[in-house]
Amino acid sequence: MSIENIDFRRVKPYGDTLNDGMVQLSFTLPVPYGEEGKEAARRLAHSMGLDEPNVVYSKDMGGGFSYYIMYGKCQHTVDYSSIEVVKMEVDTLSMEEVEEFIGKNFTRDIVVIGACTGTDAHTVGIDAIMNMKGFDGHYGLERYKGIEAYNLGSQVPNEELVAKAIELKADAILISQVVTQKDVHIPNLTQLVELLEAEGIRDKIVLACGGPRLSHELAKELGYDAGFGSGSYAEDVASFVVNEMVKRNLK
Amino acid sequence: MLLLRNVKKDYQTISVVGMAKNAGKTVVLNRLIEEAAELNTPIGLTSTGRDGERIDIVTLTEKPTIYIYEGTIVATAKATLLKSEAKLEILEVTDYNTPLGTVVIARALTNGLVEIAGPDTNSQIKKVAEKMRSFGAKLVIVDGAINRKTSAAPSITDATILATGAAVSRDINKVISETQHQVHLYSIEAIAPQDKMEIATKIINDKKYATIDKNFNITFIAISTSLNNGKTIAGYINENTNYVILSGSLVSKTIDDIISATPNYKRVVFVVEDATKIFISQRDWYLLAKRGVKINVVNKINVIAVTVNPLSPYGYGFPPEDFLNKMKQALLPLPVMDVMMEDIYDK
Repeated sequence: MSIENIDFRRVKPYGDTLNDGMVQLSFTLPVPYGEEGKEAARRLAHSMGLDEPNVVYSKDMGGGFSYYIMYGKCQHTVDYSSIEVVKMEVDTLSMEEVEEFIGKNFTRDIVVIGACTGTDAHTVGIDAIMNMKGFDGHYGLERYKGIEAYNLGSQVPNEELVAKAIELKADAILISQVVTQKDVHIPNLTQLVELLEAEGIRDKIVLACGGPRLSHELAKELGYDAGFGSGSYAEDVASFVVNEMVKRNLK
Repeated sequence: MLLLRNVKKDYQTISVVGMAKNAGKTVVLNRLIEEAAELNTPIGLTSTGRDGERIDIVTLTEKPTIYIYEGTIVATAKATLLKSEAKLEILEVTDYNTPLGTVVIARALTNGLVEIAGPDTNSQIKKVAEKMRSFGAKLVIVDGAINRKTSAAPSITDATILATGAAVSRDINKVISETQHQVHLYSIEAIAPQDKMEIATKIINDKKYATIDKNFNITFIAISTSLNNGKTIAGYINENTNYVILSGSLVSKTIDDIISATPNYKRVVFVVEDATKIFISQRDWYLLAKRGVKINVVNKINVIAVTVNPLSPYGYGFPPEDFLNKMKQALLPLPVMDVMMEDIYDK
């Protein structure tokens, strides 16, 4: 399949051939396992805009619940050519380059606090950024020379986090939100900004958030300096923090 | 009803803040722009979040656009400035950086649609508002983001419009009671005696923590935040203490810790800078009031009006007239209006 034949104004999912629209999705229904359940799953998938929906796998979850994996052909297209995504304007440095940058620009260590706040107990994101061993071959901030990294763990209340930031004189706060229900991560993230404003320290802190449902664009509305989506590594975060500190003269 | 009729002549900046995302802030902003145009008042516009983009980035629902008139001054980030359809003359490129680029101050040379995303922090918003005034804006309007409300602080804006709506909760009574709580917080009284007020103002401006006793003796408390320091603060409260001055925030836990450590809490008045520093839920507020906790502010927030939006982007809504009337009753004597409904009746 040559790339020239793709119409970027009307893009469909690709299965075996261009524009076949093949989609796989899975969900649980609060109905008993059986033929009626499968038909319900098919009709629901059709309402979602899938042509020829098929149940390729289903399982009894017990207690009147059943699970379905579906294949279907997406009826919709998306205009890829009109999409504009706001991205961060920082060139990512390597760990060594960040360390060198800190050595050149600062006469002290930089204090970075990380936490999973509110109801969220999923530390996989913040651990990948903070922990010494890092993630996927990218070392975490704890290993960086010139960075004092504190990982406060999961379900940290905003007020505990701010108290700690004041005690440690933090330069940067990193908030991870991975799994939250009903968009509660949004008021939780804005409450932290409000608390930092109330304590009068918002201007002195580089504030970043990260997680699969957060983007750099959403960070602006939330009142954060940056937002990191999935696939960001410690060096992306570190590069942003040190650059921002120099830009804002937080030495 | 004109919203701007409630804006006194000496108000230079007003903020629009919301109880939740999609409470109707942008609709209120558009209404203010129209009213200002009718009154021939040159305005400056900025936002702590982002306004005027066609599609909401969380719910992917449509949002109202912003149409401004020639002569309006805006403070907006580079990425949104470039998307605006109104022809804009750049007046100043500031040092304030946002995820959408540097904040630029510009004047509209033609009427047209704009997107607005101003500075991120309150201190930057304040400075940008001053700059817009120096370029000729008589009234600066600061639109809030999501449910961020600290731009309502009197140190940042002179008066506030609170937007609330069905987006707050599926339960109409909860929307009303939470809005009522917010208005109660904004109505907390300033310290009455003028002399004590002056002392308290000075302590808060110096970002200190202190007690004032009957004889006007000031005792400073050696802490850098009240967070997690309730027990320490309690140690400074005795039978002669009149006021406890707390710069920074005041959260439920701080007060709870003070109550558990000293019975003298009932004799004192806790003083914070303004209501945006208070983080106490409606339920806790009620319980604390019952236990005799008294809180005053140094700067009172001027709430001009509350606006209601009976629809939620999550696909439910309340009967508009019922919602408006219930809200009016709950917030008497504050003006409450449904901007959309008025527009329909006017036409």
